[in-house]
Amino acid sequence: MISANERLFLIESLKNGIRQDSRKLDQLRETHIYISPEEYGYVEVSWGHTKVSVRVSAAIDKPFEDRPFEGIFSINCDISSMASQKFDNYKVGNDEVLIGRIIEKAIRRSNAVDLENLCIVAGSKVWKIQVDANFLNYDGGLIDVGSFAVMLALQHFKKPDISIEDDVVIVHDVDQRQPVPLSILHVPVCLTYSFFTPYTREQILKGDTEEIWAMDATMKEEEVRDGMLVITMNKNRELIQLSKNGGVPIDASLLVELGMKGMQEVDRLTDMMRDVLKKDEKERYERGNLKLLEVGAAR
Amino acid sequence: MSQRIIIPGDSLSIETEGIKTSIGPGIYKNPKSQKVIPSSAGILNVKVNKKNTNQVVYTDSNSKRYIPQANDFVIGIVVGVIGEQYKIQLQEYSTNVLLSMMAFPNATKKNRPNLKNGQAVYARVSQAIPEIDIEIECIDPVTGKDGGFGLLDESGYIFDVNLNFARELLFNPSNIFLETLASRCQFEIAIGINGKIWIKCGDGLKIDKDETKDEKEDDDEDTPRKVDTSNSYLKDLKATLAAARFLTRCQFIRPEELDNELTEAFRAN
Amino acid sequence: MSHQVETGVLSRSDGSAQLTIGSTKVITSVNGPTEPKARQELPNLASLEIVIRPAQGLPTTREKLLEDKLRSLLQTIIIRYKYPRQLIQIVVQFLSSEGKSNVFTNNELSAAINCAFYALIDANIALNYSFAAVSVSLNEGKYLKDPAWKQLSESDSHHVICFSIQDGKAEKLLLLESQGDFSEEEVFDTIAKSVAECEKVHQDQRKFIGEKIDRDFIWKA
Repeated sequence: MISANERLFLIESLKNGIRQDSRKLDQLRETHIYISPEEYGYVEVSWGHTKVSVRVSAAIDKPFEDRPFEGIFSINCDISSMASQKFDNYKVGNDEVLIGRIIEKAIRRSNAVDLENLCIVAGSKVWKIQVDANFLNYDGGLIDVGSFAVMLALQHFKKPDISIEDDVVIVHDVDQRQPVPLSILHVPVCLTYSFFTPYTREQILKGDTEEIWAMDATMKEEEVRDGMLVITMNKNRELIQLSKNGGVPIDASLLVELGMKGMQEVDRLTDMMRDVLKKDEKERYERGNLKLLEVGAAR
Repeated sequence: MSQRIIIPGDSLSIETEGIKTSIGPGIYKNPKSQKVIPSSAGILNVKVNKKNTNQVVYTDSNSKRYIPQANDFVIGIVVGVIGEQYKIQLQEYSTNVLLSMMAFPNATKKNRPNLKNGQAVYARVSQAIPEIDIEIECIDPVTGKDGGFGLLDESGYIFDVNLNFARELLFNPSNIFLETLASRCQFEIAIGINGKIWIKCGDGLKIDKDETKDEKEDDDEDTPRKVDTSNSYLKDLKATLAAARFLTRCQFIRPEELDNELTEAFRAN
Repeated sequence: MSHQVETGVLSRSDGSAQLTIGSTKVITSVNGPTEPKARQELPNLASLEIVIRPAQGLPTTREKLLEDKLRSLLQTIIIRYKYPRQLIQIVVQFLSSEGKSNVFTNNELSAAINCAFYALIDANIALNYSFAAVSVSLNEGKYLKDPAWKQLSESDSHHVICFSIQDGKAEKLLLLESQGDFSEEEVFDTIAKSVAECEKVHQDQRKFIGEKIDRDFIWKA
């Protein structure tokens, strides 16, 4: 439980646009990214103290009967008490369900991964892509950091190349043949806005108040917030998901304003992913002396 | 003084025959074998008195989780009431401790303290037997007066630090951190050995007294307090947060970087 | 193979450590003593909640088995009588582990044990003694420490050995997990050889703990 002192200080400073970690209201925390130099599809991402690791793995499986042309894609976001003792190791709590569903909606249900591209032999063999997101440390923003890390890992992942000879699927080792990346149709980015209302109910209903909002809330801020809104968008200026589950009512025009504001962050985060992946690609290229394998290389 | 780091499994290599030995944190006496062993990794301290009749053995180490010991000064948060006792949280997810409503100066059955959930108190651990509920009190048992204990009002900010740092601030009167901070601003501070610190710079967050009285009358607990909106209040609010930021940072830097950190903490916002 | 250790990596846990041995990477958090759930509470000692999570996929019986082994080891090491009616929560999360087929859990078990040691020290939980584990494989009698997955799959037998450490010396054998084809003589020989290896691991432990304590008291003039 948060003390009344902290609550009061948090609210009062937010009213004046001040945050505990001296960020601006619309400023996200500093991002640290680690990409595994050996594997494909393993990343560790932290925003401030919040830390998430994501692993993507692929296996060949039978497709669902009603979808013979589509691969299988699933995201697993169990939260253990490692992240915070708030999360139970054996029981799935409400927060946990919400976080998992929103990430799943943002990525899986928005068709970020082209499932038909995962088909090997229609009706009998498809790729099954499994994403494991492990939340290691919780300081707010699990949805934003989680979806960011999952999208980064998906773009980094490469599955082994395959060839088919007489109905037999041959999986080529990563060392023998260059693995192939997934076909990513778009990159959804989740942004969570937290709302704070230091006003009485009557004042809110009368409407002579202005909502205080902040992006990328820390744990303490999440604890005192009165409502939240998750906006999922991509760089193509498409809106993928809006999630506002109750909480304090907000002005409809604010929704548009936040959406417009969020675009800048979506652009920035998408570019950040692109840049770190490019850097990783370059490093692997140099480390593996892949230049020697190119068609035009001198032999 | 050369520091000796000791870890579990090491021999203490101290003389226990013919000398009265008191063991402190990080040292454990096995009830079966009667052997005295180090139970945590830390800097070993052995202090022998001049006559060589008494010695104190303990290790200095850091941790985040507080284990209550009798006579510790702690900051707790009210989380509930059972009968005539408040349930007090010393740390999140720790077992709550009990604070009797009678453990306040001048408290009687009729004249009880009025604490609300979320409010913070400065108190002394009066009984810490791990097998039963731990009790704290807001009264100096010698004088029967408040002795500096009691409600920590909402004008101050509360934040957490590591336990070894809290001990340094509270027990080392020559520590440089509070002095460095004092060179920058006036402040009032309460340090709980459980790693909680209450601090306010200047007047902290000024709550208009008349307004709060009005608020108390209506039952809605969520009603926020009205806050003084004069200009100096923003200055004090910022200074308090900066001071908290500064002390938090102090745990991770070398003493020579202090001045730099102070400027940094107060420049933000 | 050298160990890479980092302690205090997670701000929300009372103690944490990340350990990398070869291609096995594991992170462990320790929380406690905290309030247990009513059904976990023991009247005179601390209860242990141990959770192991795999690098890939959901926890299976394989993780449950590892949890059991780790619990049987830790419940004698942790001075549980010091924390009656309390809970100590240990979560071991593998970040990467070699080998897709999940057949061998050798390197995982040894890494989990060693990582738990650092995390318990970081959380300042009272311990009876220090402990160190090694994972070894025997191939035609050849002793190999920290075998890679390929070496494991070609070996005749593989073992995990954990010793208690007292005054820097391996003292008691706390855990022995042996699988494969081996003779009595071989297993005794392996234990004898592992004494020195566990002591080597312990030298690393001492170094890392020294560094950790320096870091904890960095503010001290």
